[in-house]
Amino acid sequence: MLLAGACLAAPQNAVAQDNSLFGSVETSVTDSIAGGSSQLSSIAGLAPYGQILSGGVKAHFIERSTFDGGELYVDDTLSWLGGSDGGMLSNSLAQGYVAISPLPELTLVVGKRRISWGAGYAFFPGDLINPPASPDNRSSGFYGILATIAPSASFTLTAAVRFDTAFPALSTLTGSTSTAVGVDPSSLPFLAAYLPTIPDNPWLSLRYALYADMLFGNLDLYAATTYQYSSVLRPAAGFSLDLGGVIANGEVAVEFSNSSLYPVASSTAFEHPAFGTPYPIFTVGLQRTVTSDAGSYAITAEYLYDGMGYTAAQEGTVCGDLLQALSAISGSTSAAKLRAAYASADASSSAWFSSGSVIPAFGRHYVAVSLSASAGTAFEATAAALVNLQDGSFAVQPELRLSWQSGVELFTRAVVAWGPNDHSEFGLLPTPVTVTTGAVVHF
Amino acid sequence: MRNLYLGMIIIILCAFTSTLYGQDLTAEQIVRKAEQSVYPDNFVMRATIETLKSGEVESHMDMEIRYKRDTGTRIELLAPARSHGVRFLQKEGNLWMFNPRAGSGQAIRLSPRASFQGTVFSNRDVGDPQYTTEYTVRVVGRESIDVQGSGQVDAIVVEGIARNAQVAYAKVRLWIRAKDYMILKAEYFAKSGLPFKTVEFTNIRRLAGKERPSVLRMLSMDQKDRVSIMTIHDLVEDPAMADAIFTLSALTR
Repeated sequence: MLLAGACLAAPQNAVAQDNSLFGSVETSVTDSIAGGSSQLSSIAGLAPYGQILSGGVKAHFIERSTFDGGELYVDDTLSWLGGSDGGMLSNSLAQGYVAISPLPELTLVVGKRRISWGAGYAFFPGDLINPPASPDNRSSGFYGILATIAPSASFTLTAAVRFDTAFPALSTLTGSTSTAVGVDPSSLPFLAAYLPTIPDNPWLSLRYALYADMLFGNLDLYAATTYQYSSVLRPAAGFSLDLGGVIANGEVAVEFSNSSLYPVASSTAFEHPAFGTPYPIFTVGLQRTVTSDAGSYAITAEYLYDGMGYTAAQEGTVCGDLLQALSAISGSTSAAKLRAAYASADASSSAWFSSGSVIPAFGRHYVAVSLSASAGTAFEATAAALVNLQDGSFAVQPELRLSWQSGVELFTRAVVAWGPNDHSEFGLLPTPVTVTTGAVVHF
Repeated sequence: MRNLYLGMIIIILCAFTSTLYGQDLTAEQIVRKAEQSVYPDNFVMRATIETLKSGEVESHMDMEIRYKRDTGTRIELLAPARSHGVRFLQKEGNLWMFNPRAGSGQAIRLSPRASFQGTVFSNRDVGDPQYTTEYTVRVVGRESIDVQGSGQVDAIVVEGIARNAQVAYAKVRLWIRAKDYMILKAEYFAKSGLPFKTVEFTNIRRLAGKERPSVLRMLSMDQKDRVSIMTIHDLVEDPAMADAIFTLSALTR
């Protein structure tokens, strides 16, 4: 009834007045230069530096159709990943929703939608409503409903209910499932018994968020809260401020529903270390863009502190005891995998700056740095780095991009991961150096 | 009593100066009329920005611009293909960019003083004609200037000093046609006091029910071989535009 009524409303605040379809087709090949084993056999005879990890074609399209009082929005990627087994076709719906505006100040959204959260570049400590980003689905939204009210251009309030926390099958409808930590905790059987299970009543697993954004002069302030019964209660607040061309930003969140587990005395006795005890997560950052005759340059730096739900001493116990236990079972010494499995799935929802890679939920201190330089619109060089200050490991992603006005781009990028030892976060990656080369045609 | 005389003298002098240069209008009223000679208070327009370097086309962009006075500006790029869908939101001297192709799902805050997509225009120059809200203006004289297609034109010269540090330029100087207050030319100055950019408003044609300049040529003093030309193709007044369009939530939708 509400939908029907809204559809009849005049298009007073329809943002887009027409329909548009745009996107890109990309083909690329990813090689490993060092380490790792081939997941796919080589295709097209291209294996100049090592074994080809993947190669294929990706079609990304965004379609926006407006109607009286609303719009339909679809952001979808269809991928074909080649290999000796004939290849794999997959689809990933990042966003797909209907937005209606029964009043000029009110917008209702039903479907899969992402809330644009905060003012950060790499880290979003309070954002537990959007799914964690993943390399395959970098801007995925959540299935749910949203209502946004904007009484003025300087104040908006969004309320959201997320369904796919209660009905995980929704996420698999479009092949967009991603995990926060990059490892499936259930693959560690002796931990599985201690991990949270889906409750009998899925309605208790709905997740709620309130997000308010206010602009005072050149100070942008926001406040938010995410809540899920017996799982998440994380209020957050943040800001961004233009300091004469330098953009400063910060966000602090406090998790009140600490659901971490740690071993009491041995690896077989677990309990919540600080149940009901809040722990903080915060980030601060700076960004500066300089334009000159030769081109433009931008630098971004952001620091993240993650309280993780347990103390450093407890973490030592966790790693020590569990490492010993796991070593005894499997012979592996993967401390980071243990930490990742140990943290709750939502302990960190941060996304690696610009690349969309996942930050695993271990490590307390991180820095993300990004540098970019462009000459006109034809050439762009960027480098993004994520450093785990706790263990000294890092991942760097340099990229070169050549563009033509016709909409054709050539690119090459590398991901270089390094750690001082095989217990460090990025020292554990199976392919320390990968190079992706490809071409994109935009339409 | 002495203060009263002094006050009266100042009022008379101000009135005289205003009449001499601005035909009974204050400097602010003149500039306000000049702003309205380019754009209405609320509008939607389609425009192109072409940047030439040494006479060769370096870049070409098509865009849709929505503007609501005292509320904000929203720009959506329509071409080139790789930028199609990129949106900008500017309000109260703040600027955000959202690229739906980038995959982050996130609007990024930028400095409004930086170059607009590599053109000679700054982010603030595009579709934001609020001289009166950003600069304290005064009439400084009258000049006869040579205008392309019109010959020598009698112009009122107005100077504006930035009201705060967030404004794109420290000082502006405007040449406004005396007979109808149409803006003809503007010079923008850096903090150092040196001229930084010049913009010429030319090719007058009927847009949104009025004769208005349809081409803005922006030249930079420190990039002398580059020029960016904005051509306004369509301009429609839209008084019913909702404020909600100018929110971050709407920008990322």
